[in-house]
Amino acid sequence: MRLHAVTRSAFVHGLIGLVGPGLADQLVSWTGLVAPRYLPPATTIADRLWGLLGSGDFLADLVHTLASAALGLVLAVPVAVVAGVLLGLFSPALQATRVVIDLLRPVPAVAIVPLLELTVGMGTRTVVFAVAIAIVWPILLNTIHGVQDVDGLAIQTARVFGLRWLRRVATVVIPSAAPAIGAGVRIAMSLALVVTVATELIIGTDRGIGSYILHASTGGYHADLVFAAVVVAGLLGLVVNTAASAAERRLFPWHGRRPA
Amino acid sequence: MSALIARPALLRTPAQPLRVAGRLAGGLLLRFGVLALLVLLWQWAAARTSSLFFPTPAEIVARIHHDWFSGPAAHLFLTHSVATDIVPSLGRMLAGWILGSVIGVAVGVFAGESRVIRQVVDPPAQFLRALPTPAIVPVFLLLFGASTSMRILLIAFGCVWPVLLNTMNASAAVDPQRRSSAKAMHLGRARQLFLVVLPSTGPAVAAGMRIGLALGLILMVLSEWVVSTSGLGFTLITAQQHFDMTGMWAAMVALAIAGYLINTVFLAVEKRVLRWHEGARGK
Repeated sequence: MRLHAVTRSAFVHGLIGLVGPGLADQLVSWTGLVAPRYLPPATTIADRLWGLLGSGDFLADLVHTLASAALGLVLAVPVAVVAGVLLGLFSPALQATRVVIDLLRPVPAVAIVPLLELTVGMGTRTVVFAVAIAIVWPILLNTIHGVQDVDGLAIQTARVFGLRWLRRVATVVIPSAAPAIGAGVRIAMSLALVVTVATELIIGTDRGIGSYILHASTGGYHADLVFAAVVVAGLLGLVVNTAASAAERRLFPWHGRRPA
Repeated sequence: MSALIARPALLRTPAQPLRVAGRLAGGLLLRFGVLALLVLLWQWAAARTSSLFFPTPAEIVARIHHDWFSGPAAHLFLTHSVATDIVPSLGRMLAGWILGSVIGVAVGVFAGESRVIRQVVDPPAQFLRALPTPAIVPVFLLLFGASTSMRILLIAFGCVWPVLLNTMNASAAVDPQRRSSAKAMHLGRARQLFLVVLPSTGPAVAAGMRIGLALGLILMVLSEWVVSTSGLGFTLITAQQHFDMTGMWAAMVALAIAGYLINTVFLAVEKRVLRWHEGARGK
């Protein structure tokens, strides 16, 4: 009963937090502080949002963005995990490549877009490659870290039982490192969405939510549509984050409870 | 025992400096060998195929030197382009990042004090953090115009949410005994803040700021893409549009170096500031 009241008050407060900014926006519009051409009232945005969610074209854009991000993930995960496991296991190899990794990792992902545009061609292919290159790093570093953290005793035990190298990696190293790899993939998923939208905006692809926002803003600025699409982009991010965290909790329930 | 006695004698043998030098060279070779090999391979392949899109590293380095480091000695050999390309980019990036982090810490600490405020702030902050920030660029462009303040605000907007959420959660999780001890010692609110809350949230703030740094670099480049007249992002896109491949690569390498330096400095500062924390956790 008491618990029920607590969750209810949390829900009410959360609702205030979400409705409050909308209400403030509505007041700003009504008082004419900012012209609705630039900052449309919340009710207009909500109306457009409703319209967008019912429009097949927009939903296709949404799916296209998600698919681009997912494809980048599919390309990057195997490469990053395999490389990470190998580098985590052979420390001379890690020492030898450390400088290269440290130099390449902080390159802002969008900086390579102009080159990709010229070499792999305009459009979705550039988006997918940019995403893949950007998200390799968090997965790679988390995998290396996870593999290095594997209990030495477990590996030695496996060795005593006569397990071959490949079996040891498959049965001891990878399962132990899996939560760290999962955390890397979760970080990579939200980064993938950021890079997808950024690249769509930059190169002006003809599909995707980034290009929808770009076209709505350049073609005779439709502020209401831009804001509604931004809200959808936020919801998309929220869904992706929540799904990734839930999957991580379900797959590795023991992870994160110990002090990280 | 004999090894212990033998060692000082070994130290005095003339071969020792050579051996140290050898080990040093081996270490350097291990650390930088792959990098050097890759650069050489690139040089060889690019020179052989003379590909349009991949100039040789020598050409890129020469271009970087010509564009940015061939100025008069009085200006530390920096050219005028440094003032139009590199300084504005890094200045806006750092300004936005620091602005966002300060706001994030301030609001986070404030919200961490009360459960009601936390419950109110959490959903919108979660939503805005999940929002892929590049999507908001057109909105900022419209609301603030293509100005320096727009770019700084955009970067700050991207950086604020991870810092805010991390600070809020960490400040809510401050050991209540520490809070009550501080209260029992009649520390004022400001001293409680600086002696108890901020140190306890330090690691979480740093983690949020690290996320903000990566995002800030992306937003920096992106914001210079649209209607800009200065900055590395602008240099990059102009070079691409003029099909000036060496210039494009020079800008990319400059961005890489800038990112590397900012990251390295931040990690060093973080390690120094939070050194006590490692000790406190028994590491």
